Amino acid sequence: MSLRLLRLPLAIGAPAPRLQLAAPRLAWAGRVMQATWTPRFEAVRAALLAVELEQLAQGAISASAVDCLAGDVSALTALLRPRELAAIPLGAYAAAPPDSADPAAVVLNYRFALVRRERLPLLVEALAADDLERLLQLAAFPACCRAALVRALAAGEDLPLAIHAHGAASAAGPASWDSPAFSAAGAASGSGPASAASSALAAGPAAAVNAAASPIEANALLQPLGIAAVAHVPCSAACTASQALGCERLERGSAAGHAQAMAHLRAALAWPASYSQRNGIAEVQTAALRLVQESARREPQLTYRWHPAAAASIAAGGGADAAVADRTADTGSASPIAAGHSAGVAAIAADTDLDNPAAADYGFASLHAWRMRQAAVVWEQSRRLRGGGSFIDLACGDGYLLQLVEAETRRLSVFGLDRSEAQIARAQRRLPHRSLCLRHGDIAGLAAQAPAGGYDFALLRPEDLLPLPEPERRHSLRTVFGAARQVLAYASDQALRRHGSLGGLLTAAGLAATRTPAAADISAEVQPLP
Amino acid sequence: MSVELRPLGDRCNIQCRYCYQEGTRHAAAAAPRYSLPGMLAALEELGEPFVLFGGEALLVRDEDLETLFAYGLEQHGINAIQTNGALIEAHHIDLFRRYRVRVGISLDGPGELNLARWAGSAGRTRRATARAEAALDRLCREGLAPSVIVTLHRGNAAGERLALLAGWIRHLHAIGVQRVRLHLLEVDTHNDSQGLRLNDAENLHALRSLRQLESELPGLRFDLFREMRDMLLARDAVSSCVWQACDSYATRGVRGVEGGGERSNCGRTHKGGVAYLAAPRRGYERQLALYATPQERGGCAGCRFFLMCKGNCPGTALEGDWRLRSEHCATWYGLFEDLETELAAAGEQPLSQSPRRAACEAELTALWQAGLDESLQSLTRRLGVAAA
Ligand SMILES: C[S@@+](CC[C@H](N)C(=O)[O-])C[C@H]1O[C@@H](n2cnc3c(N)ncnc32)[C@H](O)[C@@H]1O
Ligand code: SF4
Repeated sequence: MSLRLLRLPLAIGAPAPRLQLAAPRLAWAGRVMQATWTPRFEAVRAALLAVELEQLAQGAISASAVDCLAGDVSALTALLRPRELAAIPLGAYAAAPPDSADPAAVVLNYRFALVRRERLPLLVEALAADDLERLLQLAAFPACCRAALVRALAAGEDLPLAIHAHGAASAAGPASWDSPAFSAAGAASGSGPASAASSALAAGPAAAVNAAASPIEANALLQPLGIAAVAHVPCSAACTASQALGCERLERGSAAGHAQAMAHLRAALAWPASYSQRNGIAEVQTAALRLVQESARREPQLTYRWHPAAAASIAAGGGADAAVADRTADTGSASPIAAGHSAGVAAIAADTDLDNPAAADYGFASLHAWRMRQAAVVWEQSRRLRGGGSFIDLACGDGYLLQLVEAETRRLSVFGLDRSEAQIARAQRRLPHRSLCLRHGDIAGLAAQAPAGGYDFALLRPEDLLPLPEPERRHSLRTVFGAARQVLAYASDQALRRHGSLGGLLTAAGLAATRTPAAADISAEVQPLP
Repeated sequence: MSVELRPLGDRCNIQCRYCYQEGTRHAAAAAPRYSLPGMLAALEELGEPFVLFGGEALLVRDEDLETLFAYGLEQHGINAIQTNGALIEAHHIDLFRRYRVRVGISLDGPGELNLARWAGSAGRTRRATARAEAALDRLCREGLAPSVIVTLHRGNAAGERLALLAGWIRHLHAIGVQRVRLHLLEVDTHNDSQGLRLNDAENLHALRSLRQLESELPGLRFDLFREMRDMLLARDAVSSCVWQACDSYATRGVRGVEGGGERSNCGRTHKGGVAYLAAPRRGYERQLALYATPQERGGCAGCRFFLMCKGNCPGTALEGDWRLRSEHCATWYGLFEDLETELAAAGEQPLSQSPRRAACEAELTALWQAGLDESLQSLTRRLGVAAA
């Protein structure tokens, strides 16, 4: 059954033509919150309705109102009959069914005024006369709240309930809550006027921040959902009459056997909550949910309100309930990422090493092509390299490939050789800690430089050997294979074009892959052709 | 509309300094649920092709990846994955081929230009970047050229870096990449994006330069420019989410499926670090408010490009407040103007210049009021408005 209590026995359309009655759209802050609070909200709504019906039956209030789906009318009637209560239709409005994703689906929501049978004529009379003041009186609004709502509606307020209450509350300043019921709720969230000063919500230049906090605010924020201790629309957060009625209602609920539901309601009212209205959209955020309501008025006004407890309690990852585990928080400038901020941006501002003009000398159309090839070689050989050892690049250029090899595992020590002095200088700048292992020269001098026991890996560009006369080439190969346990080879774009494939290049250089490479490979472990 | 399958939620092997997921990632109190049957059941229910997303999807164990791809191939004949590329290994490429997986790799450029996609240390970042570049190269050599997402920021598109980025994209074109998606940086408070943001003039300059580059590279397309041009011509049947009246309470452009099969919203709107669940129904409060709110108050009133742009992605809203228009407004506006001028010069009529523009706006806002939506293509056809 889906009955939502909103104690506003006003005919739909008049005298509050633009008062938004439809339930706001709601989004839960995680599945734990949803699973925990959906049934609790149901229980709270049922309990509040029961309390309201009892109060009507006892004559404590003369009129109230509920929203009801067509399918629930008979259930409502069943609740009214034994209590000698009557329901008068106040009108209907179309709204999307609460849980339907279908944009075209709408259901009719009926609004009924609820009244004790013998007071029926009073209500009918007031409705017929559009006597707002009288209607609110029948609904037991305290005089101050009655006047405030009449004034707001006359001024053309077309805002959701929460906004109305807030508009009024902002003018009123902080409340002091002495009632045991409410101060218990306040204490649970750590809220209260004392901590108000610490609340600040960066919200742009137009923001008006009001740090006053009271359960009545929370009451107003959740009231559109039918979750409220105060059944009427309170005139301000400081309204003592509303406060007393709210406390009385909570106690009445507990006494009537709804202690658990009232405890849930108290917990919800103690949630840190924020409310803001901007360009005609109102949004309420609590630790458990957020909700949004539209208003036809596009005021520039931006009013953020924030329960002082919100920032602290959310940042601590806690909240009013264990279900808060699912809640996530804006950790602001204390976040571990922010700590790395300056370092990251500084690094990004540094010069790049993407300015090497020598790509063509190494057989590539651009530096990007050259670098990407070197990255591809390391990617292909990565598994082999992760075992560690010593690695020499026999045409190391600016040392980029060696830098990538080093990054594979700390267990690799890298060496470089290159025929270009300028490139070796670049490589030394790139890898200053390996400066002494980066040498200008060619393969002929390799043996003399090799560490004791030779290299574990040597990386060869076979195309560099092709221009050499035959005896010298053979000698170079002997030197390489004599100095390293595993010889790896790769090809430049130019060589691939010239020789058709890595295999073609290897054959031309008197080499063969130790295992047939995959079609897309551009590197392989090699051995000399017999 | 796309379905993003996030098997491990926000979990990722790297920590891009600007990642919009950093807030929810750091705030997560409990490990996300993981259930292969749960995911498959949710995908079955949605019945639409999905993209393996994350966090980083390649952190999923290989058998499960294969199961998901096998399901995608059987149901939809195609698969897709969006990855940072650093974890791609040879056996993944084999899976990609067998299961017809379209691969998207996020890379902001070569070497240092990709430094914001931070992997924990300079060395690890260099390695991750190089591995992603290598995998990209490898995929191209295997005839599986991926698409690339480049996010534009201070680290890759300011000053001289823009020319380096352009040179790199030329190279991507040379090796066979055909699609590049450009993101303007979405600025959040819970990560390092603030320090990386480009100003409007720099963003516009970067986009204009890249657009110029596109005209020099036959076969390479930046999705963004084509989409914006199509929007001006009311051809929005397949445009991306940012042009589609997104609602941050129920992001329609992106529907997420989490590792336990739960439905989620697009993470770009999780501004406070809270991953709100999707509301059951969509709303158009934002678009209606923007349409009526003066521009100096963060709205879009009077803008002739409103029909196309609709305030753009709420994840990029001014001040991080989804009720305001995109903070990239000036950039989009400038680009729409360029495209509009070119279309007009070519004898076409962009919707922004149509005498019936107001009628289209009235119709669309009326639909939104009723909780409904319609593509510009169908709306203009219905109203008999000529665009194109
Ligand atoms: C969140 S990632 C998830 C998939 C995968 N890990 C990847 O990097 O592609 C999806 C895309 O969002 C982009 N992205 C993340 N944060 C962003 C931001 N603040 N602004 C713009 N794009 C962003 C990433 O660069 C990436 O292309
Ligand atoms: S929030 Fe932005 S990215 Fe996400 S669905 Fe909406 S428009 Fe798309």
